[in-house]
Amino acid sequence: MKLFKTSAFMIMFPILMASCAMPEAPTRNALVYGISRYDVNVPATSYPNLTWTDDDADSMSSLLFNSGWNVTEGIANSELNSENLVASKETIMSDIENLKGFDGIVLFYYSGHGSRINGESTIIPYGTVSNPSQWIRVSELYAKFELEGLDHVIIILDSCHSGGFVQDGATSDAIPDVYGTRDAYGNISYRWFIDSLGATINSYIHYSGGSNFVSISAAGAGELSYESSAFGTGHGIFTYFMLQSATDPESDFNGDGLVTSTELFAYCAAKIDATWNSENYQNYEYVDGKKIYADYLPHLSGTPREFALWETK
Amino acid sequence: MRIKLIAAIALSSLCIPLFAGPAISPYVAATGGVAVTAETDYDTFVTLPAASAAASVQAGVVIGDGLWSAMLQGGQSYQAATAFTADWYRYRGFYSLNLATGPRLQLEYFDVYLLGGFMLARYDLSFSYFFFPYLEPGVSMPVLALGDHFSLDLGVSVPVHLRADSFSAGLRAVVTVSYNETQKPLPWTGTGE
Repeated sequence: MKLFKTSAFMIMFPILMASCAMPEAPTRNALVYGISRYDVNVPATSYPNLTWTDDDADSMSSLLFNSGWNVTEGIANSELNSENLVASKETIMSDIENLKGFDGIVLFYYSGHGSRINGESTIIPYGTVSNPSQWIRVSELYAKFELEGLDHVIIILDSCHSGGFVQDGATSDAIPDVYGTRDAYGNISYRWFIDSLGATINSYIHYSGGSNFVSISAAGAGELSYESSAFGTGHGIFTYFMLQSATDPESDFNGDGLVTSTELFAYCAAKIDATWNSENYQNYEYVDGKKIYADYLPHLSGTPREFALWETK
Repeated sequence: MRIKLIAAIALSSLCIPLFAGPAISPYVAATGGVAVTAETDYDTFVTLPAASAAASVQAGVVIGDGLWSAMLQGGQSYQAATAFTADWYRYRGFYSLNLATGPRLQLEYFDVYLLGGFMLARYDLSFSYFFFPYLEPGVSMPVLALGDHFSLDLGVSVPVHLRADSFSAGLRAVVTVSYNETQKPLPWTGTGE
């Protein structure tokens, strides 16, 4: 009996010791951008303008500020071109540059149009909607953060094709670039765990360093993300559930009072699938001449790390 | 480098029959302990290390009952998310399946072994799967005879995970129940009774 007690203690003691107290929050800076007014020369409700992306950014700013982040905000929703320049490419890049050498955590959030150029995903700053050469590409955004010596970066994008900003690293992502029950190859890969063996060996062999930024996208690289009046007072659906995570205990999977980047992804993915996807999986649009159904899922980077984002209230 | 590592472990496993003998002793084992993880490019550690709990259940066979024998083991493991670092990040927890082989040296009262194999893992709360080789040296000692053929062993092992983007090393307590044609001698009695 004594031996069994000794054995159990040897196994459980390290597990108990691993539950360490949370350190004091480091300095955290958030760059938050939302663009609803892309063209002041057309009505607010006309393309290329969006409806709730400015509200997304405004609400995210509030959430982050109330969670202890220092927030720099750039929201383009004005009738005046000059006021919208806070979300121009120059301003975005300058805001990143202003954090040069900062060794705390940086969160970059964007809600607006996204697209692809030659297969590379982009986000579209204010003033560039008709000039694709000025869109911010994946490589450009990552390079900017690295150039400014920023090591702890979280990128969260609520835009179409944003999955291209999510790097798998040494992992294989089972969610396809175009997720959907009616899209070709749209189902989650790897019905059985072992099904991932070939792809994961390939990922292991070909991993070449890559970025260690944590990135979460609203949708895959090949699909659209959506906004709707049916979610709160009107939001991007992904952003809506991000905002909900701060007050919904379901988002805190391990009950430690914190929402991590991984928990945020899992919560949003589950909620989008249960709500928007269940009602819209039969709807579709044409993207680059290809029929893409409206159901979609967020993506999470394959980095070993995850960050604590905010506390649950 | 990684291809060579996979090849080295895979080829080493082909040599394991050299250590084998005619006897087969199946066993089941449970392990628990701590692991320390940090990101690395295998030139330097690029992030702060952090500790977590880890546990596994394993099943295997020892082939041979002489001084040297061969081990073949498979199972499933769970490594919890680490504690948070001062920069409010931690390393993600993951579940994995593993398969390993290795030689075992049976001393009078101790067994010393070196397992080498591979893990197929998935990060918690995600759809991110990954693969990596691992090594696990260990030592165990029978502490209790259970009947004429079964024994309870206690030991420690040091699993080393050679992930592509990070490195983990741990210390685990190992509890094993094995079946042996000939009962193992206990250190304090010198007999199997």
